[in-house]
Amino acid sequence: MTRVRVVILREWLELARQPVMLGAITALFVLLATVVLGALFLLDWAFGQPSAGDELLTWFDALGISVTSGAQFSGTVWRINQFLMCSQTLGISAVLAGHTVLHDRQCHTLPFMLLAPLRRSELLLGKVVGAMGIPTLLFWGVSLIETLGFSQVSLLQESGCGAGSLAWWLAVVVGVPMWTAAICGLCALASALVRDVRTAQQIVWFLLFFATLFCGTGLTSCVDQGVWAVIWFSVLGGIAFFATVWVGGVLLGRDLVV
Amino acid sequence: MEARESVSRVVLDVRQAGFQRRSRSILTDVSLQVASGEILGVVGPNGGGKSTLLLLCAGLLRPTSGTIQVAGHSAKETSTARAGAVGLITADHGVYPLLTGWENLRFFGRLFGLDDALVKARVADFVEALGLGAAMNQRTRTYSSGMKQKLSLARARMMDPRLLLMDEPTANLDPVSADTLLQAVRSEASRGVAVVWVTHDLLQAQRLCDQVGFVNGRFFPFSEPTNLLAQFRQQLGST
Repeated sequence: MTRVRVVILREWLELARQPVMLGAITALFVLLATVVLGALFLLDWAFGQPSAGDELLTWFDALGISVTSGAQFSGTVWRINQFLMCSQTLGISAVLAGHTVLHDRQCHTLPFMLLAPLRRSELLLGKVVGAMGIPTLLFWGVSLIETLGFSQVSLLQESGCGAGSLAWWLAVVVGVPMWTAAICGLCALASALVRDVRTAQQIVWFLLFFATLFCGTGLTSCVDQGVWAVIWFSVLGGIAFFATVWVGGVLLGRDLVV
Repeated sequence: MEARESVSRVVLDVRQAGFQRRSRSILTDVSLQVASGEILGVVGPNGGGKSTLLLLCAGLLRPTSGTIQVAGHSAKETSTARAGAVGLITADHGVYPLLTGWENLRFFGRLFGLDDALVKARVADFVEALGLGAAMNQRTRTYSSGMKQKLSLARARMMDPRLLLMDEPTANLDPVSADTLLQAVRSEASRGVAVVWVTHDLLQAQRLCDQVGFVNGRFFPFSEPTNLLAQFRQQLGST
């Protein structure tokens, strides 16, 4: 594990030295949280007014949006937020993971790493955690801030959507990182097996298309179903992650340097 | 060759090694030995298999036939068993541009289980001697090719290897930097390190190497490291 930690810390050090990239990642999370919290507070205020809430419902109806109450609509906004937060964490991490081993190939450092007593599975593990560490920390941080905000939105409390519930916290702290790790494992493996950045990018996008749909909607709907559903879904993500690392360790032969 | 083996000074022992990739034979029946303190020059045409031979010796590729031993360890063993026995230097440097010189060395040192103090103790004087001392706290993207190559040499030395494998290490260097590197390699050999030096520069090979061989799918040792151009032409014509 010591060597895995060494790989992780180097990945983080290099990422930390790219302020523009970090700024872009942070801005996306902050923008998303700001828009969602802003919308929820606005809805909360509007439905608190004597006539504004009814007018809004009429307006939604005219737009063809089937909404029966402000609480129901706020719950839907919150679920969209969860899906987007989850898929952004997944996507940002996967893009970074899809470039990890290729970065070593481009820097010509790969042969020197492979001379070290580092197993291929350890290399993959280090690359995955290295890639997902910073986006996951940001996701946690923004989720915490969002939770504080959500607790002030009375419509969300009425909706019973699960904001701030134990199931939601489990999804944020365990479920999202587990599935992110599983998808990042596949992307890091792709970055080790291919020789061209463009090919790796397309593989990452192919994986992400399905991953965001499956993991994003899966985790969001699991929160509705309760704690055990989230636990099972998270365990499934963990198994997928360790299976990816194990298979990757077997697949990556010595020919990695050629 | 047999005399060297008998006194157990052989560091690199390649016996009838071959390598195929996708049914294409790249190297066939290669046998060579390099003893402690000896420098073997490897020359040959482009695509002849010189770099593949180095990767095989480093254990980064697995021979499809024959055996390769470094300091008594087979190339088929895991890298854990051979860790630190081989130092590798390539024309591409292999350093992380966003890390400083010291950070690069510390990273690779930690991968090999060397703590930071030991890394510094092993190479601090060496990097000073190479003229890199003042730049070690700068990110390597600001380094010239020569500085990166010197850092790469310092990394190899940090491992205290028994075998140093060098793939066209002076390819992008100015004459002064190349000469500094050559002197450093001579110094390593005088400490007992076995060196394999792949180069296209026949004059350099003649000046530096104790023995020289020609690689073009097979390995042909030259009788002596003189008149290399004539021997090169002769081998190229016959292979």
